[in-house]
Amino acid sequence: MTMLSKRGLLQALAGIAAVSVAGVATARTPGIAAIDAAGASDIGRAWLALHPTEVATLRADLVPSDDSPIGRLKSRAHDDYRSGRLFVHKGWFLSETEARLCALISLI
Amino acid sequence: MPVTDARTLPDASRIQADIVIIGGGMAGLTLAHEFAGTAARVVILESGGPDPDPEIQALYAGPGVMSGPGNPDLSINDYLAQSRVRALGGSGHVWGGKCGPLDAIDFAARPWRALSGWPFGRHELKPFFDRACDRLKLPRFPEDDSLPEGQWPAPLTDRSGPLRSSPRAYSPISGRADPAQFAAFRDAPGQAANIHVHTHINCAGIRLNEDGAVDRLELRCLTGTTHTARATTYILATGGIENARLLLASSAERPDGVGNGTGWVGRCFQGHCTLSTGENDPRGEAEIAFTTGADLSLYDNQPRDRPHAVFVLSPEAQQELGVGNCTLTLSLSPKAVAEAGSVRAAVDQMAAAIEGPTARRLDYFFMSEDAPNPDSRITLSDQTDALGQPRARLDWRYTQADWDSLAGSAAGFARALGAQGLGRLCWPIESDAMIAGLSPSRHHMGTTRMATDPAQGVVDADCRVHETPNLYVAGSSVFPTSGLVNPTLTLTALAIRLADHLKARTGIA
Repeated sequence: MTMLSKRGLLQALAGIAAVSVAGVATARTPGIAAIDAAGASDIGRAWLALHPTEVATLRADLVPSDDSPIGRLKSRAHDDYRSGRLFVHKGWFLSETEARLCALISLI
Repeated sequence: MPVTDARTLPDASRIQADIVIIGGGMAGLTLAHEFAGTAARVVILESGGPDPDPEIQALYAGPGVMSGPGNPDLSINDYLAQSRVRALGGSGHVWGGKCGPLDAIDFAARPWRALSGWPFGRHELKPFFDRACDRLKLPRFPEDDSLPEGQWPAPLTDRSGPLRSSPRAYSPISGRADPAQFAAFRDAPGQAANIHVHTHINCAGIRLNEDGAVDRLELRCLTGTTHTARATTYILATGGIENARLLLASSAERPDGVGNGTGWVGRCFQGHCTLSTGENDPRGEAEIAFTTGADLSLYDNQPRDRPHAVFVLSPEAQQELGVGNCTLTLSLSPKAVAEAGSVRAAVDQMAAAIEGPTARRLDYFFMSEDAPNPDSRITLSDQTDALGQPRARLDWRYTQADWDSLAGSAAGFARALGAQGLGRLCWPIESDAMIAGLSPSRHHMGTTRMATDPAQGVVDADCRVHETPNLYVAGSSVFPTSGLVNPTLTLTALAIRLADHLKARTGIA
């Protein structure tokens, strides 16, 4: 398993958050950085327990490679829901993309 | 004609009519309304009086159990007496009045749902739904599932996606909400010249002649007197449990009961159960984190003076998921902010980051259609009531197909909400805790199921008992499948349709 560095993860999430605050969703959208880390980690650890080999792919998968990361996450999440790619944790039906995002947060 | 308290009749009285309606509940009274003013001499035989009475209500008691795979059995011994009312007006005394037409898919033979399919489609029933709405003082429901005419809040959904909105409205003919209007509905048939209402009289047996037709009814009063009733046509309208019990108990000429040659009487009992969780439930709360700021007031089911809507899944989504019909009803009461460090807080904030501001988290309750199950049934218990009649026993049995349908439907709603960016759904009840999470309604369906093929049901498409040419059944016991709408509008529509059929068949003007 390849572990991500804490610094790298923070950079990744900051990148998403910065873009969201900068323009994608305006001040109404608090951004990824505002997600409750403890709650997200609860989800993320559960997801990682089922997908232990995917740690290495999380950053590349979720870190923005363009200037619209929130829009990309949104589109992916909607597509997950449409296609039934769901992760259920404590009753919450989440998209696979959202679960992976929580997994990334749990690694910080 | 006057209303007669049958306890005042001399012993061994003979009641004679063209049509005898056994049971003066919503179905029986609707039939009587339809026959009022015609040339037919109609008698209603009602066990109770105008208002509920504990001694009469006790006749309804009987054992019951609810069971399902992977769940401990639940004793529901109170259910048979508490979920129905034995009085003139029937369960209308406690009915809240919620109405809606069954969905078109409810009538369809669905390959993924065993024993589904009515002998006719919703389109055929549409004129009778309209007349039932008129009878129950409701706005008429359009056939395309849109809202009744009027200026109402806009629905959140359109007709193209998997998430749809299905209209509901409240009838004022509700003993709980509007006793005066309910009493007027209850008492009007007894004021018609050709309708004779007998109260406090019980059918204790349906006796057949050698041709297999009904010859007479054996009647008993709690005072000990016995009587008989004879008619050309008999209509059994005593409710979804009692219809089956009375047929099964009428064993003088048919040991397995009247109309039960193929063994369907009492089988396929279906009810409607709501599933939800309370605030701070340790399993989690059934709630939706809505990410839309849209007006949701159409989904508020509290105002009685305007239609509201519930969420349903499209027929295509039901087929894709392999589930039965299902509804999701919102509570618009605001909820507290999720506690820091919780999964709920993370979901709220993640949804807000991705979709936009989380406007609100709302509770909901969920309903999923029971699969018709021949082993979910009414039988005769070894207990007897004060009339010496065997009491009903209810074995309400769920199957794995029901659990799969519940879970699949919850996932279907979650998918539809998420795909449209409307919100995130929490459904915290596991399959091994389903029974404990169910709240049974007073809807009793399926026990004299309607089928074109006599081998597959008790009554035909006209609600006539296949084996008994002059016996008909009215009420929700004829529903082959239950759908997810409160059954009163549909049973009222079917009663009007039956009245039309009998008028045409007998030439009654």
